[in-house]
Formats: sequence, C-alpha cells, structure tokens
Amino acid sequence: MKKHFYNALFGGIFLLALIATGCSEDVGYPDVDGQAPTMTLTTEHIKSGAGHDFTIEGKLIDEDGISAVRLECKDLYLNKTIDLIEIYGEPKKSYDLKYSFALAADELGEQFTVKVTVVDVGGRETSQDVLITMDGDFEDPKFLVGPSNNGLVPMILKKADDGSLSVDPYVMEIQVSDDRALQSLQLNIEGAAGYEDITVDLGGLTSSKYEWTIDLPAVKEDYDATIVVTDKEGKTNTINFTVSVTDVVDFAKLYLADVPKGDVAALTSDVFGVPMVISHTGEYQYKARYYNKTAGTEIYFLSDKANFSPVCYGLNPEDNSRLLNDPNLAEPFVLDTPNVYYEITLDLLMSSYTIKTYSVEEASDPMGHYEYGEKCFDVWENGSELIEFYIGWGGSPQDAGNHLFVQDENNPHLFYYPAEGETWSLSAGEKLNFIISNYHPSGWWDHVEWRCDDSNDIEKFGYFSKKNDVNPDWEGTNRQWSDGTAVNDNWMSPTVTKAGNYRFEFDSHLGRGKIVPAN
Amino acid sequence: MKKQFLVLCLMLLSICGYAQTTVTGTVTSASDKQPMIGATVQIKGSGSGTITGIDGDYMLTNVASDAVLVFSSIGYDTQEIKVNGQQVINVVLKEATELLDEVVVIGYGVVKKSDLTSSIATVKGEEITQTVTGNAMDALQGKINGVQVASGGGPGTAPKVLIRGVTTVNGSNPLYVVDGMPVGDNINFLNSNDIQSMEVLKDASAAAIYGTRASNGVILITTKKGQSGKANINFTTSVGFQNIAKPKMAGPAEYKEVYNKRYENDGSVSNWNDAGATTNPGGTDWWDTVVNKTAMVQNYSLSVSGGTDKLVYNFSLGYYRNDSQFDYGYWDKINIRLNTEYTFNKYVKMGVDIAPRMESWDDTPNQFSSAMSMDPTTPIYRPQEEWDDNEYNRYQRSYNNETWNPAGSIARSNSNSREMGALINAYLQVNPIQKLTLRTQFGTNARFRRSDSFTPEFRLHEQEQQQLSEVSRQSQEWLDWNWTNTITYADTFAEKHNFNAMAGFTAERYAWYNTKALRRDLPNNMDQMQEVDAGNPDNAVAEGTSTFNTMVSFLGRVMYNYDNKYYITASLRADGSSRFPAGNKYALFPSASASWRIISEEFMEDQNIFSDLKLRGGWGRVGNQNISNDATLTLLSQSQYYFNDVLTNGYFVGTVGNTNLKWETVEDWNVGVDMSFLDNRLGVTFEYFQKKSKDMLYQKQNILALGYDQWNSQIWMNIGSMNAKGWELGLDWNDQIGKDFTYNVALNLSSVRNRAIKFSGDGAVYTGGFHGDQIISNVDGGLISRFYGYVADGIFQNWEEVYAHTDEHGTLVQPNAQPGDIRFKDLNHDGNLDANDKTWIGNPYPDLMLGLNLGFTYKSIDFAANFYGTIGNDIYNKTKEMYAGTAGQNVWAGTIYKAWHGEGTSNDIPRLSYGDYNQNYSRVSSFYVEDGSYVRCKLLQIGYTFPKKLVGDTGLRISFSAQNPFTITNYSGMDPERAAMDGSVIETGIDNTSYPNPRTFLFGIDFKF
Repeated sequence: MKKHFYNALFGGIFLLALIATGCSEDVGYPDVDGQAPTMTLTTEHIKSGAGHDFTIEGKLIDEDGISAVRLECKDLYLNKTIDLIEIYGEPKKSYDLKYSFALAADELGEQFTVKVTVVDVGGRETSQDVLITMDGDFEDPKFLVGPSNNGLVPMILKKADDGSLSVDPYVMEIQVSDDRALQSLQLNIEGAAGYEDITVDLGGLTSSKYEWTIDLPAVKEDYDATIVVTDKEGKTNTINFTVSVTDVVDFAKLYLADVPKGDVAALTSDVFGVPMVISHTGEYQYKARYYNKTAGTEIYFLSDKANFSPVCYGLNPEDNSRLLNDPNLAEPFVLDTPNVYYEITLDLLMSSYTIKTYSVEEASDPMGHYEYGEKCFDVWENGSELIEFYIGWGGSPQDAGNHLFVQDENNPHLFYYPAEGETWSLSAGEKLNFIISNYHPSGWWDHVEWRCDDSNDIEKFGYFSKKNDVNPDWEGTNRQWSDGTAVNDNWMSPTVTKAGNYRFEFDSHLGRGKIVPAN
Repeated sequence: MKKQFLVLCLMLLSICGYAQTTVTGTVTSASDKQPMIGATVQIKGSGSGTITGIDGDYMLTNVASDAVLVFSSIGYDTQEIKVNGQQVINVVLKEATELLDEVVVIGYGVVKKSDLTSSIATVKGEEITQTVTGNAMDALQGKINGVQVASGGGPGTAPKVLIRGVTTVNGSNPLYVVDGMPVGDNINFLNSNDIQSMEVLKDASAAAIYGTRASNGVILITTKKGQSGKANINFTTSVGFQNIAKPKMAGPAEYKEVYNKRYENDGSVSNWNDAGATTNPGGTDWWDTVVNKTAMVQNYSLSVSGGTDKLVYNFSLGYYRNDSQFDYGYWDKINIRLNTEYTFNKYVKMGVDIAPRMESWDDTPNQFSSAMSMDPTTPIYRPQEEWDDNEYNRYQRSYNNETWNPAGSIARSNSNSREMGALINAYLQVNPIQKLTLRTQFGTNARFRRSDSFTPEFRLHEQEQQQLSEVSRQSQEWLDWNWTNTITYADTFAEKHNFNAMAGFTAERYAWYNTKALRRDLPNNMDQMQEVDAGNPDNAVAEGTSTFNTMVSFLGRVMYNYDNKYYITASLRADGSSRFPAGNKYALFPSASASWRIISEEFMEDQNIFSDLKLRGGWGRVGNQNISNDATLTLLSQSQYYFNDVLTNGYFVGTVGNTNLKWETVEDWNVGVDMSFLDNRLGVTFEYFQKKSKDMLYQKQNILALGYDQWNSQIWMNIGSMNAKGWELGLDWNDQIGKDFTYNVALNLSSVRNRAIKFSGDGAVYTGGFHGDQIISNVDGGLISRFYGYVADGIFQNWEEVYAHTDEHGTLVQPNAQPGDIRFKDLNHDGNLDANDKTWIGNPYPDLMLGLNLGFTYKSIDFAANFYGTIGNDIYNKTKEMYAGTAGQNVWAGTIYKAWHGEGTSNDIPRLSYGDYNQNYSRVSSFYVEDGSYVRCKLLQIGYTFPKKLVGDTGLRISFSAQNPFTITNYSGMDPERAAMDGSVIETGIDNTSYPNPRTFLFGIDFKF
C-alpha cells in the first residue's frame, strides 16, 4: 500500500511538473494589464499611385507586450506579419510602425483598404483600416519646350547702314506640363527692366503653352534668366539660362541635329546623344564628323540641344555655299552618300563651310592593333585565340557580357544594343550606370574602355584604358580628349525620363553615342 | 569348433565391453573447408589415438562411450568432444587465431598482440584480396575502425584515406611503409596479393616512432615471405566487368520544353535552335553514345613460395587491369616480387626483396558531366557533306548550349603514361647473443615515368576549337633511398620482468627529376607526327627541375611488462629534415603508453563474464613536414610586362621564405578498453582519442605594404592549430552452429569531429568557388570545411508571399523575386540579403562512420558481405544546378514537372528561368545541401571450394563477387561516396560529377597446388 502511495505521489508530481512546464512554454509572457493594444496611425488615408510607395506609420502600445503586427490587403497581395518577437527576441511594449509598400507600375485599382492589426502576447488584437487612393502627386512639373538649362539664348545685334544697332525681339516658346495640375510660371531676367519676377497663373491645367516676348535694349550684354514652373502641390522645376544680346556668337558648343527641322520632340526624346555635339576647333570654328547611314540625311547645327531656335545654322537658300543662321530660312545640309563618314567644318564668322567624305576603312580605328569582332586581344599560352572580342555594356566591366553590342554590318566602328528584333525596355526614372569595355566572361582583360565627359549629361566618349593599349592616331588618345584635357573616370549614368523601348548606338570612331527611342 | 569358440569369445567380449565402440569421422579445416591430413585424434587420458588420412578420415576402435576425443593439429585450436555413444564424429578445426595474430608488426619491430599498449589495427592479406581493386586501401573500407576511406571510380584513382580525422591542412593521407621502407602516400603500385598483413598505427603512441611524417597515421605493410617446406604454388584470377548506373536525363522533347520555358517564364523570346528537328529527329542519347555499358576488370596473380632451413623464398607475378567506361582510358600494372631470406647460421641471416613493376595508363577523360549536359537534339556528327580531312572536325557543335561534344572530346583524348619502378630492400641481421638483434636495412624506391600528350588541331565552332595542335612529353624520375639500422635487446628477468629495448638510426633521401618538352602547330594530326620534333620550334616550351630532401633520425623505444599484466612502452625519435632551416632542423617526438591486462589478475580467475579484459592508454607527439622543399627560401620568378608597349622580361620576388620555420607537431592521446566475452566469441573494443596540432604550417599573407605581389607574398609560418576528437566502438562476433556452419559478424562504429583552432589569424579561409562566391568557410574555432551560405526557405508560391518577405519596414528582401523563386532567409532582419545573412548550412564530415562485415561458411560454401557507410554528412550537390537548365544545358528527366510551375507544385525546385534574376542557382545556399548519408554494400561474395575427393591435392575454389552492388541513400546525386573524395580536407563534400564508383561483378578462380 505504501509503495502504491509513493508511486502515485511521484507520478502526480511528475505530471504536475509536465503541465507546469507546458504552461510556461505555451504562454511565455504573463499579462500585465490584460488590455488590448492601442494603435495611433498618423493618417487613415494615404494618397499614392501606380508605381509608387505608400507608408503606413503609427504608434502602437501595449503593456502586455506586442508580439506581432499584421497588414492585410488582398487586392494588393499584401499579407505581412511583422513578428516582433522573432526580430527583437522579445515583445515590444511600444512600437513605431513604419511599413512601406510599393504599388505595381501597372496597378489599375483606384483605392484599396489595408487592414492593420496589432496583436499582443495574450492574443488580443486591435485593428484599423487605412485607405489608399491612387491620386497622389509624385512628379515635378516638366518643361516640354523651353530653353536648355544652363544654355545660352543669343539675341543677335544688327548693325544698320548708319551704324546704329538694333535687336529683334525674341519670342521664347515655353510649354509645361504636370501629371496633376499646374499652378504658375515665374519668369525672371535679372537686370532687365520689365522682365523681373513675372508670374503667370496656369490655372490648374495639366499642360500649358506660353509665349514670352523678350525685347531688350540693343546693347551688347548678358542677362541671367530663370524660369520656374510650379504645380498645385508646390513641386517646382527650374531652368537657368543666359540671354545674350550679342553679335555673332562663338558658341562653346554646337550640336549636329539629324532630325527634321522643327521636330523638337525628336531632339528631346532621347536619353542622351541627340543632337550630337561637334568639335569646337577655334574661335567661331567647328568641325563635325558624322557617319551617314542612308542617302539624303538632312542635318543642321544648333546651339541649343532642345530647340531649333534661336540658333539654327544651315545653308543659305540664296547662296548654298554660305551658312545661314535662321530657324525658318536655313536649308539643311543634305548628305547623299550612304555608309561613309562626312567631315564638315564651319566658320560662323565668315558664314563659310567645307564638306568632304571618307570611307569606313579610312576612319581611324580606336582599337589599335585589335580587330573589331574578331579575336580576343590576348593569346592563350598554347597560342590559340579562343575568346571573341566584343564591346560590352553592363553594370561593370565584369558584367559587360550581360549586354553585348551588335556590330553594324557595314561599319565595324558602329555598335548597337539591342540586336535587330530585340527590345530594350527602360522605365521612367531609371538611372543607368555603365561603361563601355571589351568583354571577357571572366573579366580578364582590360584593354579598351570608354568613359564620358559628364555622367549625367553625356555628350561624348573618351578613351579610358588602364593598359594604355589604344591607337595613338585617334583623335583623342588614351585618357585624353582631343583638346588635351583629361578623360576622367566618369561612368555613364543618365536618367531615363520616359518609359519605353530604346536603342543604344555607339560609334567608336567618332567617340559619340546615343540612346534613342526604338520600337 | 575352434572357430565357434572364437566367435563366442568375441561375443562375450563385446558383451563385457558394453561401453566400447568404434568411432569414425572426418576432420576438416574451417578456413578452406578441406579435409585435414595428419590431424591427431586421441582418446583423452588413454594415450591411444590415430591420425587422419588423405580424406581427413579416421577410425578409432574400442572407444568408451564416455570417453573424450581430442582433435588437434599444428596451427589449429584443439577441440575436445565427448563421445556419448556417437559412432560418427566429424570435426571442423578452426585456425588458432590467437596464434596467428599473436605477433603484430609495429614500427621497427614486432610485438605480441596481447602485449600491445597502443592503438594498432591489423588486416590480413586474405581480407584485402577479397576485394579486387587496384589499391589495397579500397579493401579496408569499413574493416578498420577510425579509418575513413573514400574511393574514386576511375581507373588508377587512389582513395582518400583519413585516419582518425584531420589535424593539418598539409596533406591528409597517412604514411605507407612497406617492409620498413617509407614509400609515400599512395600504394597503387603494390600488388594486393603480395600483402601478408597491414597494420594501421592509429594513435601517436604507436606512430611516434615514425616522427615527422606520422601526424596522419602510419600504415605498415608486410609482404609475404616464404616458409621452409615444399613449394606452394597459388594461382588466383578474377575477371569481371564494371558498370555505372545511367542517370535519367531529359530526352529531346523535354529538353526543348524546358529550354523554351526558361525564356517564357522570364517574358523573353527563346533563342531555341531547332536544327535538330531536321538533322536529328530521334535525338541523341549522349550517355549511351559515350559511356560504355561495361568496363573490364582483370586480376591475375601467380605465386610460388617455399624453401629450406637455410633459404626461404616467395615469388609472385601479378597483372591487374581496369578499363574505363569510355572508349579511352585504362590503367594496368604488372608486378613481380621476389622475397628471399638466407640464414647463414644461428647468428647471421640476410634477405633481399626485389619488386620491379610497370604501370601503364591512358588518362581517363571525365565526360560523364558532358554526356549529361549535352543538348540531346544535337547529332553526334555534322552532315557528312560538311566533313573535311580532319576527322576531329566531323563532330557537331551543340545546337543549344555551350557543352563540348563529348564524343569529340573522347575521340581527341590522347594522354598516356608508362611508369617503371622497383622497390628493392636488402637487410642483414645478426644475433651475436640470443637476446640481442642487430639489423641493418637499405632500401631503394626508384620510379621512371614517361608521359605523352597530344591535342589535335580541330574546329567545331569559334568556342569549341584548338587552333594549334600541341604535343608534349614529360619524363620524371623519383629516386628515393632509406637506410635503417636498429639494435634490439629483449629479455625476461626473474620470470616476470619482460623487457625489450630498441635503438636505431635512419637516413633517407628523396629526389625528383623532371623534364618536359612541348611544341605546338604540328603539320597534321596523324599518329606518326605526334612527336615533339614535329612541332613548330618557334613555340617550343622546355622546362626541367630537380628537387631533393633528406632526413636523418635517431630513435629508441623501451617496452616493459610485469608478469604480462602491467605494460609500459616509451619511445623517442629525433628527426632532422633538410626542409627546415638551421637551428630548427631537429625535433623530438616522444611517446608513452601503458596497459593493464586485467584478465591476468588473480581476482579475475573466478569470474566467467570476461574472456579477456585490457585497459590501455597512450600519449605521443608526431610531426608533419608536408611543405615545399624550398619553403625557407626567398625565390625570384620570371615575368613579362609591357613597358611603353614593349613586352619586357623581368624578375620579381615569387615566393617569400621564412628562415624561422619549424616542425608542425600533433599531440595525441588515446584511451581504450579491449574486452571479450562468451569464450572469446564476442569481442568489444572501445577507444576515445584526441589529437591536436600546434605550430601548424600555413601560408599566411604578407603585409601588402611590404610591396610583394599579393599572390606570391604568402609565406609559410608556424601559426595554425587544429584538433580532432572522436571515439571508436568495435563489436566482433564469431560462432559456430553445428559442425558445418560457422559465421562472423563485425560492426565498426566511429565518430570524429575536426576543428580548426586557428589558421592564420587573417580571418576565415574560404574554399570551393561558386559563381564568384565560396561554398566553404573555415573559421578559427569552428569545424572545418563547413558549407556557409544563405538559408533557402522554400519557394514563393504566390505574390503575397513575395510581398510579405520584407523587413519590418516593408523593404523587400528579394526585390527581383517572383512566385516560383527561392525564398532566402533574411537572418538579421535588415531587409537586405547580403553576406550578413549567411550561416552554416552543412558539414561534409560524418557524425558516424560504420562498417559491417558479415561472413559464414557452410560445408564448402563461403559467403562474405561488407558494408560501409557514413551517417550525418552533408554534400553540396552542385549537380542540382549543372542539370537544371540554368545555362541551357540538359536537365534531369522530369524537370519540367518537378520545377515550380504554379502554386503548390513544388517547394524545392524553383521555376525555370533564363535570367535567374533572383539568383536561385547562383547563390551559395542550403538549396544545394543534401544529406549525404549512405550505406553501401562494398562486397557480396560467395565461394565454393571443391572437395579433395574431386580435385585431389589441388585446392580449387571458385567465387562470384559483386562490389558496390547497391547503396542505401537519399542523396540525389550520382555517388555520395565520391563527393567526400574531391578537394583538400578544408574543401571537401562538393559534388562535381566526378567519376563515380562503379558496380563491379567478378568471377574468381583460386588454384593451390
């Protein structure tokens, strides 16, 4: 009997110990006040939009300890549990919720409800809904037409027979837009009476056109000017430029435009490279080189990358041997011979020019003794040349293989990406970052590379070879522009402003490239 | 009447002798099941008896029914059997194992097995030859506890052997010593049939007498010697074939579907080349095309041994050949051995062992992986109209991936070697007084190898071509010698004090001479042109070098036991090596061990639980000198550099020497208990050991500021330390059921943990390259060779799961993921998947190693089964990527269904993807880690020994064997054993689809006459 008693006693103690241990592990955290959590969100309504984030923020408190936060919205495929115990190793009595969610770029819904639930260690819950609407304003207002930022707007002085000077008023066309609503346009020409601090009410439109007539004294002078467009949310966009009342201008830069005159959109729809900067060889002296793919290409020379006015050099209709700067009257240079390089020199002061062609074979080869599209630079120990040579594109030289250029069948200096029939989609706001280099899957070689003049505003490309293994006969030599200045380690980092399909063309002979819309 | 009287007397006699009878029967040997001639059968206590006849038969008359018959024969255990009225008593005599085993070879001597104080395991030659293999170590798998043997499948591939784990990164194979001559770390050259026994010195107290090279253990191999008596001729042959299980790869239709699906899932347009649809509509089974179903294995051995009182000899001739599974590749060897010993008188004897050999091989091309990954829509050959004069241009380049045509690769294989060598040992032994032995032995091990290689010029594609043919010849010569001198004194004082002392001196020299010539651009690919002279001299390469290293050693050992109960052994070796600088050339390697044979104590006499009981323990220090001969020297290397576009020759500091280098040492202690029960039928051995290296030689990076080139500034230093801890348990059961059935079961279990205490102090040592990352991380204080990577946490089944995989603020951990991709754990919850989220995801070293050896004999039939396995080891299965189609290669059959293709379809195999933007396959992750545990049947053998009445005095046995017939494993790759073999000890466990272990089926005949 006594034995049974002790058996029962020990058995009971063992059972109790098991139960006690089980309870401790199941519950884990004792109640403090046994109350449900409290939740204070910063807002119950968030404006957002497709392709944008929204962030739910708030203060969560529970004396017993918050174990988890759930965010649910079936339509957005949002079903997130923030397990605070897993993250912090213990429950939180106070938690600052800040949770962002990215809406898909192709999101079609107009509004969504996100249910936020706070759970404490006792399993008590508090929920609150947050309304997400798709009417958020995320974009700055844009200039569709206007002077180039940091550009020059020349107003040319005319000398009358009596020696008096005059200058024609310049009508500047400004077009602006905003994805939501435009507020105003501020115009300012510093130091020009009547042109300071002008405000134009844009009335909440999503796009607006304004012609600003600038009539300045016929006195040679430069004016700092600013145009600011503001939308209803207070977002702004600014263009700074110089209005120069001058005689003939020795433009620091002149650009070759091979798009139809007046097609401003064609000038601005590129990521970079259109129009193409040409060489400034001396005072009023310029030299342009251009590879002509098709017969009949028409080109002009502009001082403003975004406009055909006020400077547009072409042929004088009255005398085709002379230049004329007139956006309306100037006739194009017509390049009739396909698959050759043209070299055109301009003398703005004398209104004269020269033009000649040279063949692809005559074009200097920046690859030096390496052959395009043929064999690798290096020779294996066994004498074989197994690796093909490419010019690559990618996040780094080692990644260059991700995007291989396609070589033009008529011009070995010319490369494309993507290949014919393939597409390359870029999204708005996407920032590229790349260099151009020869390619090997393991990144073993580093012979010919190109960098650019300005990472964010690319106009030309220069040699940047660590191995100094380039053709010294090329216009610019290794790490040196043609004017002798250094080619810095500037990666190409342009920002795409408009989503779409694009194509990259790179001419290694010219040291010029462009990313332009493509189908 | 007289006759009638006699009959009556006999009848009366028989009545009077009521308890008297006639007993007949046969006596057979348990080992060969043959009748024993000349065995003694005596009636116990009577002095009367007989001996057995030619058929092992006997007859005894007038045997009392309660008499006891005593059966005995030299070399066999005596048996006593009560008659109990039986008239026929057949007896099977077992070999006196204790007698055979009583002497165990130890370093520079022998000792009775019962007197051992350290951990030494013995395997007899007949156990080794049960398994037909080119390297005797393959046969040791599972037979010796604590010895991990990983075999490779290719012809001539030496196994990887680890004895009691790893304590160094400088080589892991043990030292092999053949008849007292150190022969390096590979015994491929040895004929298994020549081996009398192999002794594995597992702990340092046993191995310390080999000092500098004993840190990985020592294996002593004793070859067969002759015995006086008539000539015994033995001819053994085994012939059979090998076979490798065919992996199940996708056919053309599934391959195409998988290929295109990768693009479709990524929203891209496939670049599938459908040329195969017209040129090769049936597709190509590449495995069947290049892998032969069978490969021959042949083994022949003839031996003659015998001698007189003065001269004994053992001569053997052996031939072994193993073909590869491809049309190219084999390995064979011819071994000759003549061991002689001449006894001049009771004072002097001498012996000469001469063992010449020749090995030949064609390098086996490893095309298994290519056969598996090659595009199955591609035909073997181009259309015949495209053929040209170059036969190697006839193969078709893969239509859809980068794999080189395996049939073409095999056709071009042309690399072969021939090696001639001789191991020669001569010794003189003098016993000036009975208990004193002086011995001097001089041995040489010479090898000459010629290797030829030819790579033909061919072109199948821009990226599958050899523009310039290439021919090379390499001549190598190894010339090693070893001189060993010992003096041994053994005596017993006052009957109970047993004493044995040995002192010695050794000198060794190892030399290697190498010459290589290479030219390219031969006129054509013809056989006759495949000579170096035929190449273009402009591209000639000629190189050659010689290296030497030497050692001198002084050694001594004292063994003492009191009354065969208390044993103590101590040894000391002083080694001097040319590899170390002045001041550090010499090092001491002491050891001590003791044992207590409890069973001999008086208090054990009355117990009947233990048949034997012994405790033993030992400590020792051993060394390692597996470093470059010139590690102490700072050397210049030649280089070329472009100065202003001109390629210029120059020199730079190629290696940085360390003039303070010293020995790497390993300290080891071991405790063990040997027990046997039930009249010695059950044997149990348990041992626990610890090993720890210090001053481990390791190549450390120099400070970059010193200006040395980064790669070559590594300098050998004594900075590392590793340890290994483990245990071994051996169970051995031998018994007999009835008179005809004997059986034995042996189970070996062992475990060892290998830990790096310190490498260089420069942080983790990463090994095992994988997509720009490393699979393995070896850190100070951690287990070695562990896989280190991301934790794969299943597959995203839908967008909700993708969007839920964020940190607490909503930052997507895998922004490029989509349903079907692998979810990797963000271990630090920072919303960013980076190196901080890596953790230990696998350990390639097993938790447990096991060997199970079974055997029985029934009358003339014998059976043996050996199993070997490892439990708890992980394998990084790279084949999951290699045949997943990530780069367009062919895939495992069924991939189209096994890969995720919709919610709930898979939580293991990710979706098919061309771009793999989520890096499912390019991250080092637990996705690749599989349990590599396996138990493999290494041998199934059944033999039949023909009775003497059929074959007379000739012994004839036939046998059928299956080696590696089956494997029990969950591992999905081809061979779980193979993965443990590749790579160094800190880079192991990665499956690269190396040559797997084949199944081998053999028929054997054994003649004795």
